[in-house]
Order: sequence, then C-alpha cells, then structure tokens
Amino acid sequence: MSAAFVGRDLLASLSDTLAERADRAVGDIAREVRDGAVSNAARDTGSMASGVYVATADGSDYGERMAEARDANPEVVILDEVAPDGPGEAVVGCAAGHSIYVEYGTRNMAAQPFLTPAAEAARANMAGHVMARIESA
Amino acid sequence: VATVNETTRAESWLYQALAAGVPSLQAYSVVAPEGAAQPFIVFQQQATSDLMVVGAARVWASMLYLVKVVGQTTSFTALQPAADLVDAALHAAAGQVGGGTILACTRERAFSLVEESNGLQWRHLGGVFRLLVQGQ
Repeated sequence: MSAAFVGRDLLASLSDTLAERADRAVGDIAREVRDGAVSNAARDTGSMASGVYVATADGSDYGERMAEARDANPEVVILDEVAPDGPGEAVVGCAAGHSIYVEYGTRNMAAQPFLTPAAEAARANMAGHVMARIESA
Repeated sequence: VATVNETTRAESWLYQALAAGVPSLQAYSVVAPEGAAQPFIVFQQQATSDLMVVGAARVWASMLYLVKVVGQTTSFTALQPAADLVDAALHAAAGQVGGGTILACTRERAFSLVEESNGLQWRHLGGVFRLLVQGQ
C-alpha cells in the first residue's frame, strides 16, 4: 500500500515539475519573439520598439515597456495589456497603438512587418527551448 | 536544387490566381497607387523561411503573405463578397508559374483591420496565406 502512495506522489511531483518547466519554456519562446520583434522594428521615435512586451502566467513587463514607449514619444497611443488565459500560454504584445498599422500596412502605406517575422523565426527554436528546460530538471 | 529567388514566382502566381478568381478587382503588390479604384486587393510578404536538407539543397521557400481587400466603407460586409472570392482563389490552391511551382497555398488565419483617415473609415479584410514555393 505504501509503495502505491509513494508512486502516486512521485508521478504527481513529476507532472508538476514538467508543467512548470513547460511554462518556463513558453516564456523563453515569447521572450525570443519579443527580442526579435524589437530588433526588426522600424524606428522613428522608438516608441513602437520600446512597447513590445511579454505577459505570462508568472508576470508581465507591460508596465515597464509602456513607460518606455511613453518616454520615447509622450503622444503615443497606449493600448491596454493583453494577458494570457492561464498557465502554458504567453502573449507577446505591442503597447503602442500604431504598431498594427506598421505590421500590416494601411491603404497608402506599405507594411513593415516586425512581429510576424520574429514569431516565424522562433518556431525553429521551440523544441530546443522545451528540451533545455526539461533537461535542466 | 533550386537556386533562384522564389519571391517573384510567388507574386506572379498571386497576380495570376487573383486575376482569375477575382477579375473585378485590381490586385497590387505592397501598396496600391494613389487614386486606385477601390475596393482593391493588396498583397505583401510578411515573413519567409527555407526548408533546407543535406547539401544545402533548398526544398522550398515557405512564404507568408497577407492578402486583403481594401475599401472605404464603414462595414466589413461590403468587402465580404470580394474577400470570399480571394479565399476561394487561394485557399488549398496550387499551380505553376514561369520558373516556379506553388506546391501549396493555404490560409493560416483570417485578417481584418480598420483605419481612419480624414474622418473616413477604410477597412481591410482578407487573410494570411502560407505559400510553399519551389523555384526551377
């Protein structure tokens, strides 16, 4: 009987550990996307690049990024934070309201994508981030 | 082994497919010229990556394109028939074009955007499509 309880505890513990590490890997991937987007971003005042944030179940740098975007351009329109629905999810968001028009273009302005290329580039490293977190157990 | 640039092949095929599937609208790459009759179609590359195998052999280029119908309107419904035709022309499509083959074109997500300019609303309705392009 006691062996069965120990086994159950171990499985529960392993499951919790894997879930935590998977969450961290999701955060790592999101930060890679954010860094790529910041690097790709077209710059005028710098508010768009400064305003790219990451929100995970563990926390968010939205407040810090929003403040940096405002410092770069006091007139920038700031969007509300988008939060993940729960563990295992992360959001890479743009606080500067004009970011979407730069990413996708307008009727008379060509798009200058910065977030999509960063997300596409990060796809290739997703498995690596997960393995790195699991192997660090 | 393909050693050509696939972008011009992808865009030639998009022009060809859109002209056949949505003959009533003009399609433009990147941006429509000033004064273009609207609604119009605009497509632009969003991101690309290559599938490479041993020996640096490039199997295909995977290209994401935003394809959208753009018009001055206060309702997406006005753009919906044209956007439906774009989807029918491109989703699950494939084909040949001079110097290349479009192995597959599939929509990955729908797209919509509203912009305001001088008190007027312009709306964009379409999708993000992934093209697998092989140069020859």
